[in-house]
Amino acid sequence: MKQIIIFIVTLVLSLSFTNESFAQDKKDMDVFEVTVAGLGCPFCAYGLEKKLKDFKGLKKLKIDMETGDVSFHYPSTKNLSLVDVESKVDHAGYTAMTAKVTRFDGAIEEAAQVTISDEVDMQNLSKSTLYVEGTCKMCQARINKAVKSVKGVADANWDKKTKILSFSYDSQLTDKASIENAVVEAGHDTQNKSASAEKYDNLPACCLYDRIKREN
Amino acid sequence: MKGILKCIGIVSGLLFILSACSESKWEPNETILLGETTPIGIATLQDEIWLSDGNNNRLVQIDNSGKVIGQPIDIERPMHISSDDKTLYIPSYGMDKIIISDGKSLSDSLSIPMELDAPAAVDISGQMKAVADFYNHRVLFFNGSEWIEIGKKGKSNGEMHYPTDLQFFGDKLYVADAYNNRGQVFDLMGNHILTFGEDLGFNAATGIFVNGEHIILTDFENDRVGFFDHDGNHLYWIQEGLSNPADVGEVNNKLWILNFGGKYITVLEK
Repeated sequence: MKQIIIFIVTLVLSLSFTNESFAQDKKDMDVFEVTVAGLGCPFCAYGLEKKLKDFKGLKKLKIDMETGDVSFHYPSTKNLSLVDVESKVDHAGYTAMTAKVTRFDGAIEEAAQVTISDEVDMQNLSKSTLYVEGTCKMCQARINKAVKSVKGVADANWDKKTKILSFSYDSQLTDKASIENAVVEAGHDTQNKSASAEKYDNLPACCLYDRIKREN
Repeated sequence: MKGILKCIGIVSGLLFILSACSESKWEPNETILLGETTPIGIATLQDEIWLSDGNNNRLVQIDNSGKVIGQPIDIERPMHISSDDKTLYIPSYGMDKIIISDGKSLSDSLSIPMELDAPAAVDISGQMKAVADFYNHRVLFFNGSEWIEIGKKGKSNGEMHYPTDLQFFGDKLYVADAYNNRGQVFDLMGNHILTFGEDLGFNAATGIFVNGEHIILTDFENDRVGFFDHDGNHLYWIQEGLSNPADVGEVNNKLWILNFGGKYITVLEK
């Protein structure tokens, strides 16, 4: 009799545990999808994977190195926000281009994408270039995103080989100095300004360019 | 007459030196396509050729044409692998362990008294073992009786910035000091002996291979491989058709360059 009771209790407990796990897998998980730019170097890309594992409870993490598509499931009870995820990616030195979460109840949230400001007046467009230090595709993604985030910028492209940033902007909305500041804030030295040591040290391994030496 | 003979002698000598130089140079001769495999590391286990396929989280055995043989072994982010007679040693970047395999399945992990953070390479030579501990900017070295730590984060000689590969050769340990963009050589006490390649514009020196003739260092972002003599003097580059070279290995007396980006192997011959 005692054995039968133990068996029934064990069965009930294990069933409830299985149901709970099942529910968590199927019902109570939010699904995050992020596109990260420039995941070319395996050492850095796999490093991003390690950083994301800091989100305790994360499941089904997938990273496609070629497309930069990152996805994972996360318990909805923890209320992880897109901002938290983007911030994690950015603080790890990577560049999130798009971010989306499908909540367990089907609701979809998407992060605002960096797009050219509607306010740019093509009549006021100025073109310019700037020397910017960097090393790889991840640097390219970070620099381009930082510049395109400045209100009034119409286009930006940093060339990995020449290290020249070419950009165009509405001169009534912004200026070259503001754009240069955005680049420096992203952790990259320019021909005129240096990024802070903190910003530089936060870059992933493959982005650690040789710093520009300046005379005081 | 004497002058003419002298001149002929000098010219012949120069021609001999030139021909000797050209004979010793490795040249690309063949490309082996790998399909979906993204090669990072290579090791031979007796006659078997094994590749670590980082992006696909697996270890694959291939034949000389690049075709996968048998079942791949699943493992999280395998990097620069190594082998001895019967065993493969696989650094799992994701699991922070050095996994041991007989080529059929995974068995155990290497017991190391220090905590690893993203091991990027392992090499075994007799009783000696060494591990490149990527995020800790150091090499862990077992000299036969105890584990010692070589290097710390920095740019000076003996210091490291994200080491990604290493190899024993003779009584020395050769290290790819990836993001210091150079190679370093240590003795078996852990003392720094040589730094090389520092001023050659490497952009991530990710893979290193050493034989009796050369030290070879891969330049990942610049799509080229540098050949050095054992004093660290740069001899020449191989860059034709390379795409993110991650490592170099020796198979059947030929050099195999693993192109991570292009998913193929460039075979070098003399």
